[in-house]
Amino acid sequence: MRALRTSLRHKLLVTMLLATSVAVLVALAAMIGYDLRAYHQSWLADVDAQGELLGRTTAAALTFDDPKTARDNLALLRFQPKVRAAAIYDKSGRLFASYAANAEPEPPAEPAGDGLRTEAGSVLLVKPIVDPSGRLGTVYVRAQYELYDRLASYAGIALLVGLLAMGAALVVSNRLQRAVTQPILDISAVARDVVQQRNYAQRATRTSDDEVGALTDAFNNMLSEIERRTHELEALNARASQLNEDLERRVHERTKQLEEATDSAQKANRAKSEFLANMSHELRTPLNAVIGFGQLLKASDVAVSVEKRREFAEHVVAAGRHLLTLIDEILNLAQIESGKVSLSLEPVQIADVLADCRTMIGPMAQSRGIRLDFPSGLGLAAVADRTRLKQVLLNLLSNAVKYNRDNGAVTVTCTPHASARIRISVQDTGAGLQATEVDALFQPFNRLGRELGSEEGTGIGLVVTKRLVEAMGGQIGVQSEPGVGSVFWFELAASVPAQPGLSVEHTRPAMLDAPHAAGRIATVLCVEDNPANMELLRQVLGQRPDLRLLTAADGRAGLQMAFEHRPDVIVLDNNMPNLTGSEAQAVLRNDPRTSAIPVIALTANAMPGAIASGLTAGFFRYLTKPVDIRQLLSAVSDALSSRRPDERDRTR
Amino acid sequence: MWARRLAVLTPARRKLWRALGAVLLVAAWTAGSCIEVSAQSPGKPAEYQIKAAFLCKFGNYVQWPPEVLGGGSDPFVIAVTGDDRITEEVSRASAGLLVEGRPIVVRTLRRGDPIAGVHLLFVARSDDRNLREWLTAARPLPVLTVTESDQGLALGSIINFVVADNKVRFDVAPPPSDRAALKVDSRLLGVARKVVSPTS
Repeated sequence: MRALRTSLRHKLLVTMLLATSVAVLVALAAMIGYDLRAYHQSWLADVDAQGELLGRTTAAALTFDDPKTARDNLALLRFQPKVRAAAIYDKSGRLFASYAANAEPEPPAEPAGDGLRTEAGSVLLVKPIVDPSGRLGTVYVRAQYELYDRLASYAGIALLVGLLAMGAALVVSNRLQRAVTQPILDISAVARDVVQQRNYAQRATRTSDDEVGALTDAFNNMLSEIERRTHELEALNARASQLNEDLERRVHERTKQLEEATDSAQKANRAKSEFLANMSHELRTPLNAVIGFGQLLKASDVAVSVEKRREFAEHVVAAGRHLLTLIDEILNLAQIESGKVSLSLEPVQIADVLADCRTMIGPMAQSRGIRLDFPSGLGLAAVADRTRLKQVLLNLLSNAVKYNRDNGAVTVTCTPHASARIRISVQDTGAGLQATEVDALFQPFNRLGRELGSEEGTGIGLVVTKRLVEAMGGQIGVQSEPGVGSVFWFELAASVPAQPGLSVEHTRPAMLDAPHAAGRIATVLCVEDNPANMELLRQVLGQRPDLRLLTAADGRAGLQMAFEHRPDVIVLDNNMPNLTGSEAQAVLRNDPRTSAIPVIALTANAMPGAIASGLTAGFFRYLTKPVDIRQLLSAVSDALSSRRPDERDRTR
Repeated sequence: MWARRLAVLTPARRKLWRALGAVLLVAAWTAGSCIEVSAQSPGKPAEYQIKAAFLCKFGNYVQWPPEVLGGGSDPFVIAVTGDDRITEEVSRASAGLLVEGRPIVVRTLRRGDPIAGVHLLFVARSDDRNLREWLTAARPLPVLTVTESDQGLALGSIINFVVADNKVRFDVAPPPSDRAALKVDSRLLGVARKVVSPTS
C-alpha cells in the first residue's frame, strides 16, 4: 500500500516534473536561440552600421587628407565602449587614423580583407570607404562579441527559471495529483480489503465522472459479479456435499441391503441344505418301511400268516403313498417358488369347498376322535382358484387334525372381513405355539415339532399354503396360545355371492370298470425299459382276462411291435433309451397304420407343463408315476371303448 | 610623405601615376627631403596638384539649387581665373571624376568673362588683384567661390586655401542660408581648418 502510493504518486510527480522541465527547457532554448541569433544579427548589423558611419564620417577627412579630424571622429567611439578599436586606412592601405579603448591592442597596420567576421569574442569589420568617385579608403572596427557571455548568462537564467518552474510544478502537481490518485488509491484500498477479508460485499466510492469513475463502476460491477459467483459456488458446494451425503447414505443403505440379502441368501441356502438333509431323512423313513416289509414278504422261510402279510402289504402301500405325498409337495413348492404355478381366479363358493374338505378330512379326524365344527348355510364366495383354495384348506385342516390332541376339536369359521374380504379361520385345540415358533412358522423349509418326532410332515405344507394364498391376492396369519391352541386364518377378496345351493359336481374316483364284453381279447402293447415297472404292468393288466399283453423294452422295439401287431392300446413310457416316448408317439401318430391307436403315456415326468403338452401332442391319457392302478385300468378301459367301434370297422 | 598624401588625394590611379611621375621628377630635382608645399612658393606644381584635387572634390560637399545643377547630364563647370597652368592641372585632376554624377568641365576665365553657367569659381593667387571684382560678380550667383588669399573670406569667398604645417588646408565661410542658394556639407566644415561665421 505504502509502496503503491509512493510509486503512483512518484510516477505522477516525475511525469509532471519531466514534462515541465522539458517544456521549460525547450521554451528557454528556443528563446535563447532566438535571442542569440537576434543579438548576433543585430550586433553585426550594428557594427556594420558603425563602420559605415565611421566611413561616412571620415570620408571627408580622407578626401581632404585630414588625419586629425579622422582621429577626432574615431575618438568619439569612447562613448561606445563595446567598440574596442577602430582604424581608417587610406586608399593605398596605409594607416590613416586609429583608435583603441583602454588597454586594447592597437589596430593592425594593414587592413585585412574586406568583410565582417567574428573571432575570439570579437567582431571584426573591414569595410571600404567609397564616395561617388570611387574607393577612398578602408575602415576597420573591432567590437566586443558577447554571444558566449550571453549564452552563459542565459544558461544560468535557464537553470534558475527551470528550477523555479519545477519547484512550482512540484507544489502544484502535488496538490493536483491528489485529485487523480486519491480515487485510484481508494479503489486499491478496497481491493486489498477484499483480498484480505474475502468480503465481496464492499464497494469503492465513486468520486468523479471521469475514467477513474468508470474504473470505479467497473470495479464495483466486478465485485458484484464475484460476489454472485461466490454465492452460487457456495450453494453448489452445499448442494454437492448434500448430494454426496445422500449418495453415501444410499450406498450405505444398499450395502446394508446387500448384506441382508446375502445374509438371507446364505440363510436360505443353509435352510435348503438342512431341508435336503431333512428330505433325505423323510424319504428314507417311508422307504425303510417299504423295503423292510418288502423283505419280510419276500422271505419265504419265515412263517408269516396271511393276516400278517396283508398287514405288511398295507404298511408298504402307506409308506409309498407318503413318499408320493412328499414328492408332490416338493414339486408344488418348486413350481410356486419358480413362479410357474398357474391360477384361474374365479368366484368360488366357500361352502362347496368346505364340504369337499370335510369329506376328505373326516375319516382322519374320526380316527382320533376329533370333532369337526364347520359353518353351515354359508353364502359367501371368494375370488380364488378352486383347486388351490381346496389345497390350502386341506393343508390347514390336516395340520389342525394332525397337531391336535386326541378328542380335540377343529373349528372352521368364515366371516366377511373389512373392505370386501373374506376371512377363513381354522382353530385347533393343540399344544399351541411359542411366539418364536410363530415367527418361524412360515419360513421355508422349517418344520415345527420335527424334533418331537411325533408327527410326520414334510415341513413344506405351510410354506406352500402361504405362497398360494399370496398368489391369490390374500394374506395368511396365525394367533397361538401355548396350551390352548392355534388359529390359522387367511383372507381372500370377496366376490359377489353366487347363488347358493349350486354345488359343483364332483367326479368321484373311477372305480374298477366292469369287464368289457366277453368274447374279444384286446391287445395292449406296453413299452417300458424298467423291468420292475414292466412287471408291475404285467401284473396289473394281466389280471384282466380280456387283455392280451405285448411288451417292448425300448422305444425302437416298441415301434416295431406296434407296426407288426397293431395293438388296440399302447402304454408308453417316456424316458427310454434310443427313442423317447414323445418321439415314438409322434412316429405312431404320423403313420396311417397306427395313427388311430390310442396311446397312454405313463411317465415319471409329473410337471404340469409336461402333462399339458403331452395331451396336446395327441396322447390319449397322461398318467404319472407312481401309477394309481385304478387310474391305469380306467384309462385302458376308456381307450378300449373309444377304440372298439373303429376296430370293429377295420377288422371286420 | 608628400607621395602618400598624393596617393590619398588623387582620385584616379592613372592620373595618380602620371602625377607621381611628375612629382618624382620634381623630387629628384629638388634637394633631399625639402620638397614641401609652401605658401611662399605658389608656382610649385605640387601645391596646385593638391589644390586641383581638392577643387574637384569640393563639389561633392556642396549642394547647389536644383535649377542650377538639376536634372539631365549637364557638366559640372569649374572655372579657373588667371593661370592656364592651373587650369590644366585641374583638368588633369578632374579626369574621370564625377560631381553629383556629372562629368567635370574645366575652363579658364579672363577678366570680364561672364560667370553665369559656372558652378565653382577658383580665383588663383596670381589673379588676386581682380579678387574683389570676381567675388563681387559671383556674390549674387549660386557659385562656390574658392580663393587662396588672406582676404578671400573677408571679401566674400566661401572657401579659402591656406597652407598650415606644410599642408594644404582650407577655411570655410558658409554663406548665410537666407542669401545664397548654396549649402555647405557639415562634413566639409568638419575637415576645414576653421569655419568662419558668415558675415552679413
